[in-house]
Amino acid sequence: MNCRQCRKSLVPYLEKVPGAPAAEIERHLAECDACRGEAVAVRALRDRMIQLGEAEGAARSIEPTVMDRIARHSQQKQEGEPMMTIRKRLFAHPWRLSAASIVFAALVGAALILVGRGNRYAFAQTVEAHRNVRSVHVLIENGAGLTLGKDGGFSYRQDSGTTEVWIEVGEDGKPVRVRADTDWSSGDGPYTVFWQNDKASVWLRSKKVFWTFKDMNVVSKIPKEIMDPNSVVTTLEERMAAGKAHITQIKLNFESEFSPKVLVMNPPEPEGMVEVYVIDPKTKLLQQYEKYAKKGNELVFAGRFRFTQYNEPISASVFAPMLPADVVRLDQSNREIGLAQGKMSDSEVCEAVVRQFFEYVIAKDYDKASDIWPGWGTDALKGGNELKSVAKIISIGPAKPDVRPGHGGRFRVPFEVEWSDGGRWSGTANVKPWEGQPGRWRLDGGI
Amino acid sequence: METDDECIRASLDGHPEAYGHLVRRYQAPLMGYLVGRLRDRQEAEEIAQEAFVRSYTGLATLKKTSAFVPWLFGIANRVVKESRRAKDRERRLPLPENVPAGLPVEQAVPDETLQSSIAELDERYRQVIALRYHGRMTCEQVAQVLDLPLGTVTKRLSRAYAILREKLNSREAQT
Repeated sequence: MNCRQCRKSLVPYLEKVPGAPAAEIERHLAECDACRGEAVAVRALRDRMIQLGEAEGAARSIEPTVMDRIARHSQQKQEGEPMMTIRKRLFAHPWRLSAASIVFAALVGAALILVGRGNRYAFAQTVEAHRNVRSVHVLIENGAGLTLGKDGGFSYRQDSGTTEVWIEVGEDGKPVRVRADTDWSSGDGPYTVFWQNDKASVWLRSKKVFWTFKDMNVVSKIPKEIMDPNSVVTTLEERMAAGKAHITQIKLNFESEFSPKVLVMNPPEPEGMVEVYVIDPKTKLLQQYEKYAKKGNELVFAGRFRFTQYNEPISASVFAPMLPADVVRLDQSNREIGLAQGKMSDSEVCEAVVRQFFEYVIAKDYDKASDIWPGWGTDALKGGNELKSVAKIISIGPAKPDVRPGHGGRFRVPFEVEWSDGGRWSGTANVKPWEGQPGRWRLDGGI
Repeated sequence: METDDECIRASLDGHPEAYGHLVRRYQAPLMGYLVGRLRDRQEAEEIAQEAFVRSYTGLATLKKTSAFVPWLFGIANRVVKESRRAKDRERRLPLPENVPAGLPVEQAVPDETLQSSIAELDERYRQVIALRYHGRMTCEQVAQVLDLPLGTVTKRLSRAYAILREKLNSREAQT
């Protein structure tokens, strides 16, 4: 090695770069005073640079500030940006979903393996992870309230909006305590439901009524996916096992260990609900569940469930309502609601419910009347001018099923009664089963 | 430890915490690079923060994830220019009365001669030095993040040493 070669290789040698001819350089340095002096000078400069780097490196980290700014930036953007991207893809290329639906879920041994265009995801992991869920916070967005009817057309649900739910689940996987806040804008207006120990309390915020009753009739308005979030996973598992779910895994543009697993379930028919499942790659728990109404190549966003704070303790105050002083408390939790059906047909029991109601009203037994028409306190029934003047039943029935959308299981019962002044009142009462107490029917809605 | 590529992809998939790895990994070289250039730690810190935030928001436009570091340094250079333009505009505005034009800022300037000599180097040399000494990376790692052959990195480092020695000799001879 000559001096030129030595000086050229000096930095790689000092930096211990693989391939640097260390032995040759050391032999040359041992023999050459000039190059040894050069090496000393370069090493001195290198040491000075290292010291400078260490001095600079001792400065405080800017990471917290940067990450805080990024977090604020992310908050300003719409939440769930990856889902926005996915949604854009769904809308932009609905035909891709159809193509993807050709890929079927495969059952391999005890584990369900989803085979898609991307990598594989063993869904059994998610099923297993959900067995250990004991609490969760759910945010539900009901999209535009659009649903796909059996006639193939879209219908608009008035009770669309957003709902926020906290749920505690017992060892058996069933809900133990639930709170749900809705901003639904029709019917009873926005309300909050508290559910615990087979008692539901509904705080009708605009009506300033806090109504407690046995079981969970109103809670049944909330989809099963919310009341029992694990059911989303177990239902899908059952459908897959029965070959009724055609699922593919979406391959994201960029994937890493942090990337969620995104599964899409296509309906077998050209029309139906497309469901999107977003699974946390680390916990294997469901992060998000979205629905799209599919009609041909058209996809309309129908709803989203975001599951957060799995197994994080929920403050007791969440389940303890803080009611304003002017809220009327109505407790019917120890009462039998409605009428038992016994051996009567559905239409017979419906007519009997209306008849019984008016008989109680005529007898001025408003306590019992309010059992038939739950949600109305005794005082409220007493105060109704039409009701308190009813003196005689003219006719009741025949009951007919309510065929309007969204009223399945309900009957409409025409009635005519006579007031004490001789005037007559003709109307229609709605009757439906009381989900909280099986086998019993009650008045529903207005009459 | 996650690679730059993995961190970038995860950040794009909605996991900003993955970007934290990149900030931790490159804050020291970027700060070293900027302090050398600006000779003002406080300003360097502000610009480094801005550069990291901008690079996060623009990650989707990064065509080649292996080019993250040169891209980040490029963003920092743009922020420096913007900052200087803004300061020029400020200087043209009259200062309100009773406000000192410059407040003393407590900052240690280690080896200022070396620092200012590095600041005068060509961009390609400064990047290598920032990563090697401020980022405490090996030459192989520098080659990886700059997406350069190892030989190019060692050549740049050798050349940077040669230039620095000339500059330092000259300055130290003057003093």
